[in-house]
Formats: sequence, structure tokens, C-alpha cells
Amino acid sequence: MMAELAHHNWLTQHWLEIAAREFCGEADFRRAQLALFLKRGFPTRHEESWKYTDMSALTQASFMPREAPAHTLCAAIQALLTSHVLPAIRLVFIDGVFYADFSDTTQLPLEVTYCALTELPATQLTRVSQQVFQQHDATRYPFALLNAALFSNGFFLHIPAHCKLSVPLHVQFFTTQAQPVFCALRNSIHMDAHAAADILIEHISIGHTVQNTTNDFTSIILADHAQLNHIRLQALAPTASQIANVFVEQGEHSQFNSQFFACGGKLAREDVVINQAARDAVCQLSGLSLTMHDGQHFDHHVTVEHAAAHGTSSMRYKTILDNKSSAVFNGRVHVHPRAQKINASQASHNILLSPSADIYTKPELEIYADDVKCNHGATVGQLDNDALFYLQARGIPADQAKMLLLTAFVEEIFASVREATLAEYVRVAMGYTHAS
Amino acid sequence: MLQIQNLHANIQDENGVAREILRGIDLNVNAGEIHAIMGPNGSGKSTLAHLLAGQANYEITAGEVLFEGQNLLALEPEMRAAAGVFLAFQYPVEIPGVNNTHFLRTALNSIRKHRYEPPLDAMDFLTLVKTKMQAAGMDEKFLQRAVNEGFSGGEKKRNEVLQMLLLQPKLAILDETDSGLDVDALQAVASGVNSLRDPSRAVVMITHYQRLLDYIKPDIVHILMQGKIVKTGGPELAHEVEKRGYGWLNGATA
Ligand SMILES: Nc1ncnc2c1ncn2[C@@H]1O[C@H](COP(=O)(O)OP(=O)(O)O)[C@@H](O)[C@H]1O
Ligand SMILES: [Mg+2]
Repeated sequence: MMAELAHHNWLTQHWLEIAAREFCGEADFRRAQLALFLKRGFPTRHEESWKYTDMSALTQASFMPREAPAHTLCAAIQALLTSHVLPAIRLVFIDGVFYADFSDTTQLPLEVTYCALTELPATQLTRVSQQVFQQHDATRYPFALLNAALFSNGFFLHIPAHCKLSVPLHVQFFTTQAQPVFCALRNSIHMDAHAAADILIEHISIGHTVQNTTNDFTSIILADHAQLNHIRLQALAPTASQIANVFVEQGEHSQFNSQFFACGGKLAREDVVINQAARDAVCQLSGLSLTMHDGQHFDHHVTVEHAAAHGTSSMRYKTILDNKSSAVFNGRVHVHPRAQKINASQASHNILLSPSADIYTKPELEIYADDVKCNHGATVGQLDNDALFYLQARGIPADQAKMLLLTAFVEEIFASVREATLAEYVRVAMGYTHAS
Repeated sequence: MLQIQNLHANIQDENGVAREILRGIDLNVNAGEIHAIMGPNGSGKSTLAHLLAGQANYEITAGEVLFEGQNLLALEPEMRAAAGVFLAFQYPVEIPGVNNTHFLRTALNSIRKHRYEPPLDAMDFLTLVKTKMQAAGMDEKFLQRAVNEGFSGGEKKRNEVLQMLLLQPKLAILDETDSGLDVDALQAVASGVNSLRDPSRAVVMITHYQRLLDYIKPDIVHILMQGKIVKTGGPELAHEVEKRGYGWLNGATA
């Protein structure tokens, strides 16, 4: 294995660092995952699901060791945390390191277990990290493999049966590094039967030249009747990158409501996989991506595996692209044989503000059962010039008129965030203040 | 107030071929006057109206337009609105997702800003808009709707009148605001326009029918044909057109 590793300078270095740490009770697991990754290799554009997203820069990257964030940055984060807080339970990580001082868990019920992953006992860690993993064809998700080998931290959350969080949980991952740094984070959310929670996971950069590359992995297990409102917000600096995987296992009658928001980063790729292996599960997914800068590229792949009967899934994704930016939306619905009475819908709507922006949107429906309701639709368009002129003719300046039309386009996605304070928080972060 | 001289404008058709739609328009509108422009379908009436409001689809090949002495064609549409030009659209645009109240308030406050007037807050605006809705004969339920979305033809026209009453323009151009209206709606439009009648304002009404002119008496009537004003006269010209059609005007000069 070391021979194969030697081809990847930064990987070798990272692996050695990880291997030297004390918390590696799960070393065998990591080693096995790394071997799988090396065997499979970095994805190339010859693979269908990586056709539009070029990862070659990552293969050749040279990453530096993480430096402690500068005092001024810490102060900036602290200022942000005091001025801009949600009434929430808060977990704060800076460049992958957990900051207990910046976190606030006073409102977390006692029966809830949370901790930074590094604080879990090794045996439990191994169990937690492998749990969801066995269900999926691992080689399909190379960065999940890589993450399993290289993760340095993340959070662990366990909400016991019938426990309902009355305030949202806000997990903030700050990135601050001015030189290229790689960090793999592994998060685990485990909700027992009838548990309920609202969770916002935010990736945000402090500073405009932040160069972190984050490989983020989140596994979510929802037991029967559990209900999770899960919001992800990616507001990285235009120089930072992220490769994320979210794997969800849904129990009977469980509900997974998820909104993905992205407005930053140079390269951002997400693979979301929802596995409905138990009947009557519901997932409602929506997302909004804004790509604004030349060279900025987002790629969102989402798969729902309908492996049991009476499942429901809906996807509603919107993208606004400007300048020479590009984005991919790939929504896959896979209805297994015997998974009858499935109701699946998918919509992808996109606005190009510039003629040099590109969107690739593609539904993939694989249906092997016969009693299934399935629909999909995709649109790619420009801002309605007649509407724009109408607004301007009433005295509304062009910029504001555009914003009105864009707000109308995106509003339903914000509105799908159920918890009001989170919806407002995300609106502000995305640059859309609420229409009065 | 408005001086149009020798205005020529082209539009590009689907094949990218330029077609001359306005072929030398001359028109003077003074403050206090009400003008009517009549003409057969396709003669260029809406083109002229859109062009004055700032629609950018046209290429102006000759001529000039002065509004209160300044070059109107150099202004962005919103600056024309701020200067006091208002177009009631023949086909008002539906804008899904944009709340009508929010739109109306944003429009009014944008224009107030140009007049150095403070913005109206939500409460004051609501009081104002409700009185104007009454004048336009519009149900208050239309405040909650998206701009023009799913409005009937008549409701859209009333919404145009409402906007005119709110924004109090100096020059109101009404593009067939009377078409497709029942008598009630027609009266609402007419009383809206008549309420704007004032020595410092002017109105240009584009219409097909004499009918509207029974409610709003124009000072001057123009006949536009094939991109040119071929005849100008008093209110009696409208009656004549109503009786005889446009055929007899072919080749006539203003
Ligand atoms: N967007 C456009 N593209 C191509 N031709 C147009 C466009 N708008 C108007 N025209 C043409 O210009 C001419 C004048 O149209 P218009 O100004 O709408 O006439 P009116 O309002 O007098 O009925 C017509 O022949 C019409 O087909
Ligand atoms: Mg017309």
C-alpha cells in the first residue's frame, strides 16, 4: 500500500500524520478504507458521475500543515458569534479543531450525547464510522473512502428516543487558513425512534483568501418515526473548496427534510445519498446554489434509494449562475423491485444571468417497480426581460428589479426551511433579505 | 412637455433583419393637454409607447425626443419613470412570486426617492393604496396577489390605472387601456385619467375606439398609420374615423 501511496505526496504525508495520532483505535478500518481508495483512485472525468467536475487539481495539490488561526481571526469569529447568533445550541470548529469555548450547549437536553469525534472511545468510533457505510457501494463515493481513512475530527450527536430538541442545533465549521490545507471531517447524527431536531450545518470562511480544502462526510441515521430538519449552508471564501458526502439511512415513517444552500467556494461537490430501506419513509430535499465568480464550479449529486414500499421523496433544486461559473445538478431516483407505492418527484430550475455560465442538469430515474408515481422537470432560462422592463418602467432601478425577480425565484426554497430563525439566518447568509 | 422630432426606429425580426416600424414621427404634447393616438393594428402605436418608456428592443436610427427639455432617449427606463413618464401597458406583464403590494410600494418609494421625499412605511402606504384602489375600482384582495398573475384582462388594466394613480406621473401614456373593458371598468379608467387632468400634466391615450373618448375628451387627435402620423385634428377626427375607418386616410399628410 505504501508503494501506491508514494504517488500521492500529500496523501502520504497526511496518512502518516493521522497514523501517528493516539486516537487511532480504528486504525484497521482506516487502513482498509485507504486501500480501497488507492485501488479505486481519484475520480476522473471519464467517469459518468464526474464528467463535468475536474478533480485533477486535487491530485496534484501540495498541502501544508495547518497553522493555529491568527489571533485577529479568532477575534473576528468571536465577534461574529456574539453579534450574529441564533438562539441555538452551538458547536464550533475552526479548521477542523473543536472549540469548546466558542460552543454553547447549555440548552442541549441532558439525555443527548454530543461530542467531538476525537473524544469518542475508539471502539465506539469504529462502530459509528462504519455504520452507514456498509449499505453503500463504497467505490462509487471515492471521497467517502478517503474521508474514512483521513478524518481528523467532526461531531457526534445521539438523540435518544422521543427526545425532541426545542431549539435548533447550529454546527459551524470555520475555515481560516491562508495557505492550502486539507482537512477531513466526519460527522455522525444518530436519532432514535420518534426523536426530532432542527440542525444547521454551516461551512463558512473568515477572510477572502482562505485556501482550505475540506473533505466532509456526514452520516445520518433516522430510526422509526424520527424527524430531522437538516439544513446545510456552504458560504466559503471564493478560494476555498469542499468535497462532501451525506449518507442518510431512513427508518419506517421517518422524515428527512433537507435544504442545501451554497453561495461560496471555488469548487464544491456534494454527494447526497438517502437510503429508504424501511417503508413509509419521507424525504423532502431542496436546494439553492448561487455561483457568481469566474471559474466557480458547484456539483450537486443526490440519490434517493427507494428500497421499501410506500416511500416518498421530492427534490426541488434551483441554481442562479453568473459570469463564467458552472454548476451540475444530478438527481437520481432509484426504485427497487418490490418497492411499490412510491411517490417521487424531482424539479430542477436554473437561471443563467450571463451567456458564459453553464449548467448541466440531469434527472436519472431508474424504476424497477410498477406501481410508482414519478415525475420530473427541468428548466434553464434567463431573467424575464419583459418583467424587468415592467419593473423599471415603474421607477425601480435595474439592480433592484433584478433582485426582486431573483427573490421571487428563490423564495420557495427559503420558505421550505421550517424553523423560522434558521430560514432567516440562511436568507441573510445567501444575500436575500426577506421581502417585506 | 414632450417633443418628438422625426423619430425613426427599427426592430429586428426573428431572422435578424431590421424592419423600420417608426418612419418619421413628429409630435408635440404640451402640459395640460390630452392627446389621442388612433390607428389600425400594427401601425406602430405600441412601439412608440414602449420606446418612450425606455424599452431597449428598438434601434433608433434618426430623430430625437425631448421631455421637459431633456433628451429622454438617453435615460434608463427607471429614470424616465422618475422624471414623470408613465406607460400603462397594453399587455401588462405577469410576475409570479412578486407580491403586488411589495411591488407597488417599491415602485412608489423609488420614485419618491428621486423627488427627495421620504419613503412611505408599510402602514402609510397601505392607507394610501387603499384609497387609490377604490378610485380604480379594485378589490383589496389584489394586494395579496402576485403582480398581474392570473388577473383577468380588465383586472390587469385596473392595476395599471392603480399604478398611475399612485405614481402621479406628469405624462401618462395609456396604450389601449380601454380595450376589452366593460362599461364599469371603462368608467373607472376614465375617472382615473380625469382625476390626473391638471394644467401641469399631460395624457396620451392610444386607442382603437371612439368609446373611450366619450368619457375622456381629448384636445388633439392623431392618426398613426404605417409608422407615421398621417393626420392631426380635433375630437371630430375621432368621430370621422369611427364612421369611415382608416382607408380614406391612406396617403394623407398631417
Ligand atoms: N418585438 C417585435 N418583434 C418583431 N416585430 C415587432 C415587435 N413588436 C412589434 N413588431 C411589429 O411592429 C409593427 C408595429 O407593432 P405595434 O407597435 O405593436 O403596433 P400597434 O400597437 O399599432 O398595433 C407590427 O408590424 C409588429 O408586427
Ligand atoms: Mg398596440
